[in-house]
Amino acid sequence: MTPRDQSTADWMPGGIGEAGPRSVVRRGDTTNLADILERVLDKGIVIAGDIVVCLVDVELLTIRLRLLVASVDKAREMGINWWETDPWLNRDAAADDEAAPKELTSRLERLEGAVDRLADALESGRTSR
Amino acid sequence: MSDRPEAMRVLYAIAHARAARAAVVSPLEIAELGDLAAIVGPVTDGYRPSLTDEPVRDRGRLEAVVREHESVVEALHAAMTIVPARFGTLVRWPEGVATLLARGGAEYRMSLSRVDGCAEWTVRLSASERGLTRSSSTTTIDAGDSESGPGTAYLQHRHAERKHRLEAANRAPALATSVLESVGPAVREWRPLDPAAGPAQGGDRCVAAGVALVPTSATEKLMTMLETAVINRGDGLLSADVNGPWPPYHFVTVGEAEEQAE
Repeated sequence: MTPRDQSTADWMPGGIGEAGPRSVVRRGDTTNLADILERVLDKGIVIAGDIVVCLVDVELLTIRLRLLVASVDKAREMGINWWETDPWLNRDAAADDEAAPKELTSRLERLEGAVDRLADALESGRTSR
Repeated sequence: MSDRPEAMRVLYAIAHARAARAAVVSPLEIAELGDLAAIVGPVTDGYRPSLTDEPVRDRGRLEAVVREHESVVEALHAAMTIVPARFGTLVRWPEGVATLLARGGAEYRMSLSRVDGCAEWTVRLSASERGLTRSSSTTTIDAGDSESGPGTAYLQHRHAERKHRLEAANRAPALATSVLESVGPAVREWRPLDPAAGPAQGGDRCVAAGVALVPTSATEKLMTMLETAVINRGDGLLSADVNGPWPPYHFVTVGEAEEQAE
């Protein structure tokens, strides 16, 4: 039996996935790709890049894997940092791709700030009366 | 540069030789050195040169080969205590495996002892949108001067609501720390993770995250303690996402032992 075969619904309110009405703990299994990548690639985000470059030669792949697993910082020094701008692999890069919602958020923040200032002004006017 | 894929193996894990002998079946193979065994498999299509056109851009293919690796490691972990190897760990067969075991033997024995009978679980605590909304809606908010007009009253209410919401959001990290501290007795080891990293949980903002190394026998205890702590210490703001059980990648891996050996 693999871990993901184990039943989880019996003892967790809400079981797998969405929380139930009383539940404050949601339990997930081990099938989420992002969680898998976080573990099996780890620094291997670099490894993923290496597959593009080096699969043609298994020996080269092995050498580079060993080198790059040793240090992501070293990879950056070597100028290998493409994963930092790949929206699929990097959350910040993904956020950059979502510039429009970011602008909206920023605009909303400005409006909220204006409402706050207005409310403060009203409050101080009321106090001084 | 003369190695052919046939002369290479994908390394999945290192384990005690006796446990590996009892559980490993073809196409996996084991190479033993003393009381340790390396569990390897053939170099699959995911690694082969014919797939070099755009393998990473072809996310379906990358996902398939990564999931294949993970499923093998998970199955091994379900059957025995292992030091898992990360995806893409290729070794020369059989001499590379013998070297690996000889050089990292002491480290692997310590690692196996460290994670014996345990699995790792990811825990993320989030300030849930539902909790923040509840916080501001259940707080008594001064609706303003009764002599004020409806516009003024609205603005004042809006201002107070936002203020309460911000205060609640600022309290959340300290509450999360308190929750995590309280589940310590169920956890053998804990490693914090960057709350900003990892998969998003809907619209919730993750305020604390980490991985726990938990004895299998204490899994239920962890969940119960976590739920109790979130209820008692979370002030209605927090929710928890727990994910596992995983092989103990965050605590011991073949790569780390190799790096230390070098």
